[in-house]
Amino acid sequence: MVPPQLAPSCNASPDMDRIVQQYGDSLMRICFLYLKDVYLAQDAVQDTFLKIYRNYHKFDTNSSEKTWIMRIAINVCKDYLRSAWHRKVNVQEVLDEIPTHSETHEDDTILIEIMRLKPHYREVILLFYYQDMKISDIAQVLGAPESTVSVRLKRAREQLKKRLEDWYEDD
Amino acid sequence: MTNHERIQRAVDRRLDTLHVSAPAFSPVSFTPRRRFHPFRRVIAVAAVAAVTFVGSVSVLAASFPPIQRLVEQVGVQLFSIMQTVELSCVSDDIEMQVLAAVNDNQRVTVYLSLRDQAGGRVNEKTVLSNLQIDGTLGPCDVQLVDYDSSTGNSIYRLSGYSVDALDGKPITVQVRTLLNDVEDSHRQNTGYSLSLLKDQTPSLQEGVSINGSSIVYDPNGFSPFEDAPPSILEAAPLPDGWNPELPWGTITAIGFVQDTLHVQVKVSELGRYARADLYLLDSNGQPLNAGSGTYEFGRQYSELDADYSEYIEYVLPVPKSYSLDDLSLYYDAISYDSAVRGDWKVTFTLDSVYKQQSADCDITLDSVHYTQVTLSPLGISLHGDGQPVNGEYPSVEVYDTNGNKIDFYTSSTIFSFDEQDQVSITLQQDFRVPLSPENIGQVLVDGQDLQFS
Repeated sequence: MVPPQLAPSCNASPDMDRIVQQYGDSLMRICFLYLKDVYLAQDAVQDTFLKIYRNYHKFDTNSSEKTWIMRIAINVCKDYLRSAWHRKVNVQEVLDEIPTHSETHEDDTILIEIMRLKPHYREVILLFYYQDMKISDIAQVLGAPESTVSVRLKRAREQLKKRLEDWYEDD
Repeated sequence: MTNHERIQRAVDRRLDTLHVSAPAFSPVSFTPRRRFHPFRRVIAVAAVAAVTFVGSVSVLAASFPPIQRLVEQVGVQLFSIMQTVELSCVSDDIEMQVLAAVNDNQRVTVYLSLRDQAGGRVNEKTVLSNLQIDGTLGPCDVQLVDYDSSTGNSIYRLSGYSVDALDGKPITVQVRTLLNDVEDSHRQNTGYSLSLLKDQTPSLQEGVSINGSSIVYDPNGFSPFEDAPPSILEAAPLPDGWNPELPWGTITAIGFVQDTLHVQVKVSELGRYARADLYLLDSNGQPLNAGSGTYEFGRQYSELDADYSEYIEYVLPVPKSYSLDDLSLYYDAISYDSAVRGDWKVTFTLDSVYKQQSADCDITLDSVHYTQVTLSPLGISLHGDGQPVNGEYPSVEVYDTNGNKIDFYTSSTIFSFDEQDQVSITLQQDFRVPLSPENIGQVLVDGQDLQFS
């Protein structure tokens, strides 16, 4: 999760050190959950950083840097999903390939169910819950009306609630 | 615990090994790769870029190796389906590195970089000549993709065509000449007056014998002799004060055969690489091309991609409706003032063709039944059985995801005959630049919207 932080002036070169440090991990994880492929996720993060670097001068400092970066990342992921070379995968097998340092055994159920959601539900769940973004910000990221985001979020919650019966609680 | 906290905790704890940091992307060296791992290949690229980001952004552009520049130019998506090669050679202190290749077994595209270690001989105007991709047919097309002035690296794209499947076979990319100091001469007046030429140069008649060869001038067929003579015109001195020099050679003889002006040019060493033409221009500024042609003769020079002759004779008919006073001798030329000669050669094995997209179709047109369309980053091909009688072919239109029509660069038709003389046909259309498949939005063949798998 990314703590809120003020973006610097866009007149300067982007401080990629800060951006990588501040957003890198969460971008990697959100891209992985979106793309269900760790290698594609690495590519997507890299592609996102390249786009950030090359387009930082276009960034409007009056808007949220996090929203701008998430929009780039989501668009990169969408591009990747449109690729003819995208593979259908077993999400459990994909998760099994990823080691964890966590000493407590983490239940994969919630990640698996998020990854099984359709992409347009998956993205709103990740942005809303994992990135802790408001619906208005998510609408900016996705370039969709707030009403659309609200409906998608509602339906995504309903699906998760059904699939995670003993786990998910109403907000 | 709220759902926000549950999801954040689940993701961050379970995926705690997925992170972006300098240690995670530590030393990565680019070494030649011979295996095709479409998704893994980019990792090395991503790693280097990330290290650069974390290190010093201010030197980002300058520190990018050619492969990184290539990724920037073609995009990660397209690069991910390329075969990385990264093999280099040095000749005359100029390094050539074959960066990557794409092969769909009908077309081969190779990206290579050039850098002058001594400096100054490779720039954004340097033209590659005398080159080939061994195993492909005919001369290959060359385009400059990128020039990095901070490092002096140029990246070129070479495209060739093949009938035989080349996957798994070694191919050699070879370049022998780099041309510099281009001179673009458009519609230049030689200053030669046709009236003066008529008066002051030898007037050759039909059937005149020169150097033992009989010239029988045929204005329709341009076949003045059976055996190639050393020259068509006798080498006659030009009138005093006339400059014989052209950007691609020297005028060694000039004269009329009846109503046709012949201009004989001895091609210079660099002139063989020029694209040049001599022509007549009327007083309204209109070029006269009808019936004009050239003969080539003299010593022959063979290079990798073409043969050249020592002499070119331009044959320029003068229409009877024109007065000689109304016509002038002009030329167009793109020529080069310097060249670097070497032998840059890299051999590598082309990887197996990655999964191509294909779609079934059922189109019968002009005695041909078309049944399949294949799509690759290099172009689109339509496969069928039969042979067209009237030369009619299905229309093929490709649109990008924004609805813009994608132009084709070249088209070709390939016929194959089996032992029973059954004919199969492949209509091949090539994209101007390789395209990432996800950029293709719609394919219409004969009006049918095809869905690829």
